[in-house]
Amino acid sequence: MTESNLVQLKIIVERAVRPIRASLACKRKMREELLAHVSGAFEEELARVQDEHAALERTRVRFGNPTEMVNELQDSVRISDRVWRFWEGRPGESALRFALRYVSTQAAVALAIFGAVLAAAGWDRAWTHEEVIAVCSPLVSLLPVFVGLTLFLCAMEKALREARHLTAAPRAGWKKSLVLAWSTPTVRRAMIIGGAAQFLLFMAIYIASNWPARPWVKDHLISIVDTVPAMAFKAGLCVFAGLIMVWPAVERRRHHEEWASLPVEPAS
Amino acid sequence: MTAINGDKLRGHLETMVLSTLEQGEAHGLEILHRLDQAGCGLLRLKEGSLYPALYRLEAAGEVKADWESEPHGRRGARRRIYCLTAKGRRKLDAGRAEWKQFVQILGPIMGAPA
Repeated sequence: MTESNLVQLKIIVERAVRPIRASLACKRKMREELLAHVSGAFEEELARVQDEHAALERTRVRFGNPTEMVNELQDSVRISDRVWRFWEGRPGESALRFALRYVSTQAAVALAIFGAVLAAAGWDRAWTHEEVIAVCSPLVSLLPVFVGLTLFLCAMEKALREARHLTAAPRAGWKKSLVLAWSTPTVRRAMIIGGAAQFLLFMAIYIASNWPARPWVKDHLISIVDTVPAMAFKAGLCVFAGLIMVWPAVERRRHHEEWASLPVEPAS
Repeated sequence: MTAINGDKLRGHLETMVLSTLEQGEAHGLEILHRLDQAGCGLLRLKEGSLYPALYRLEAAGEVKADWESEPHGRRGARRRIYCLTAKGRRKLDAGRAEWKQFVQILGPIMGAPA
């Protein structure tokens, strides 16, 4: 099949898929499956009529009216897909705007849980001040972790999007991908800065939650130094987890950009 | 015999798809070929409308889909292979019973009892 025919087949599919309000993952699934279908139909028609233009036209007719398809495909999108759409962000949205939107939602959820805990505290008997703090402090300390992780993920996504050679090529196994990522300066910088920031955040939370009456005694300082390897390991895991989470998202976004660049007139 | 177009199939497409999958797992194009074969070439279904039906069946847990491991000579586009689940079999049985009742009731009204 020639490149030009493949583009025409993609356009048939894209006319039905582009207007759908769905996550990039959902649209990617539809695009790939429908492209496989129209490619198969095109091969059948080509074998029948032995003329590429006629085969394309017959494939288009077989596929049906894209406007009707849009409505039917839209109805088939699961409600849970909205969560994915939120997580993926909007096309063209800046990393900072995405981070702010995501963090504000996390803060709203944390505040709702915080409120529920306080309400529960006063339901049966009045909790002491210390009990309320003991229950709520993990929630409060988790918020900066999420904020830090979100900012790190945004920075990592930006770095991976700039490194087109990493995510445009077929994936080459995690070990090789990790080595390739590390050997790319922008990605390496994001990994180092992100990892260092996570490490400092974990250390700050540890120190704040174990603040003694006499902070500068030798034993306390030794206990802080003892936690350094564990916190560094956690920060390293965060970097690795971030890479695993962001890589497919960047691939999906790149796939979407490739399809979104197809010249598709609005379906009539 | 005159062809049956997509509008007349509305409401029955999902049961028909489940019925074709009873013969074994298949991708979308193969499902259409089975439908075409069973309908002696007289079904005029817009092929694109099959996929929303498949996605609805998948969301309802009545079919299960897996990507084929390798693209099948289609330059990167993979097909999804659908198979019937236990819930899908129950839905198919219910769909058949419903269809029999439909024909039994409408047949005499139309003056053409089954």
